[in-house]
Amino acid sequence: MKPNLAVKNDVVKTDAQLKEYVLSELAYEPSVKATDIGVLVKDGTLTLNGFVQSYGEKWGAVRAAKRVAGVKAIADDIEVRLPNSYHHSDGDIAAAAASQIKWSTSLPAEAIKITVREGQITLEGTLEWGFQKNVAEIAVKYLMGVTGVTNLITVKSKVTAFGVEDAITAAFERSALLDSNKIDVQVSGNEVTLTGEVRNHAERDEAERIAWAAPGVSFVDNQLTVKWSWLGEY
Amino acid sequence: MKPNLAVTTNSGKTDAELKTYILAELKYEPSVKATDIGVLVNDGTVTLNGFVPSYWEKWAAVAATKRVAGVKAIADDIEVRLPSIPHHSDGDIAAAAASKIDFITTIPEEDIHIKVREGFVTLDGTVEWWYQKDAAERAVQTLFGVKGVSNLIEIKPKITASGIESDINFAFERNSLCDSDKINVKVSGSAVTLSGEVDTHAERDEAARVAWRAPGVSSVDNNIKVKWSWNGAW
Repeated sequence: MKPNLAVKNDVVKTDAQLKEYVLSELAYEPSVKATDIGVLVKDGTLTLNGFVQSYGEKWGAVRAAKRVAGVKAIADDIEVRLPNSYHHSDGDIAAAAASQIKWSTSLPAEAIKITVREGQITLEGTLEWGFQKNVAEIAVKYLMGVTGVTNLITVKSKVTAFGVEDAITAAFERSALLDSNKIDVQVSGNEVTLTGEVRNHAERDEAERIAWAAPGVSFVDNQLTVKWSWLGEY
Repeated sequence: MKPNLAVTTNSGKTDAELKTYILAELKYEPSVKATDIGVLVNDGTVTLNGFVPSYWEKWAAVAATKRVAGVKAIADDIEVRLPSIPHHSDGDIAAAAASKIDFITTIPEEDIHIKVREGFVTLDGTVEWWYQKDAAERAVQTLFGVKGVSNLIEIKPKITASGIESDINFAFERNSLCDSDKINVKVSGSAVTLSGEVDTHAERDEAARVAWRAPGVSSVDNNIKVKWSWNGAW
């Protein structure tokens, strides 16, 4: 599929070229000030380091790097250094985070425990769905003063996992983005393991999201790798 | 791409089958209670109607539909019918929206005005970048009590750029999801028009985001169509 994309990815396959592309993408991303971010590339695997002014910006930088064709994996060593104007007390951050979660239509606020220490937010508690765990994290990660988020929320479904593999496989088949033939789904109890090779990080993330959405799933181990040698494969 | 999907969409792309797929996807999506949503399909164009209890769920239902292979376009006629308890007054919603926007690092709060009337939120003001406008909308669309959001925020770039077209084309070349050969970029002043045919809504939406990231862009008209006849296309 996408023979032209295939060619594109073959052209870009030296680490030096990939580095140039990632630097261009970071410079192009308006929510990120790329000047203080360093990029190291080895065999298609990136390490990002340096400094940004908010946790949201750190996240924006990782997302931008993920978009670049040819990136296999990313190690994020970016440090958040808050400017003075972004500093908020842990108490203020905790209050803002609690209010975000309380006002989120899809979250049971009473089930989520928030702790803030020196700007680092820790989320704990038990929720019914994987997407809720994700929503809770998104609700707090862009707040001013936040330097990191540790999401320790556990997912405990109210239903017993049944027919999970079939449900996930059928959802992969419906998906416009995924090639279900390339992804292997293994289910053990209420835990899902995904293996195989996908074409880009968008597909890898979407596969994980779909697996979390199956009724009864409490954990997804995403071992999908992003592949970048295209010629002759499709 | 997707040789198996190709067969599915060509041999089996009847509206009836697409409808079955969409209903299955809505049922599978844990953030949506599909029982009150109706699905009509005509030549791959989908109309969603019925009722949901929150604006966020309406948004999630549209997003779920967009993900299904074979969907060309979507008309969203879903109505938000808030549960009577808990009730959130317009004043409470406006206060929650304002405090949220205040505390989010990606939104320049001083330039955004919020009005709420009977649960409908209107956002006004001027920002420099589309991602800021989008972040403001995302911040309010998840709030309790919201029935709809009109995002009237204007984008006024601070710089006048030449070279917008080549900036965008280079960004497409880097992007792992967008196929630059299928997307046509036209720039007139600071206004961008995208046209062409792509394979998925994910690619179509990403193309607009790519264009918005270019410095100096004040509008993006996304005329890209999602195509669903696969055989012979590659």
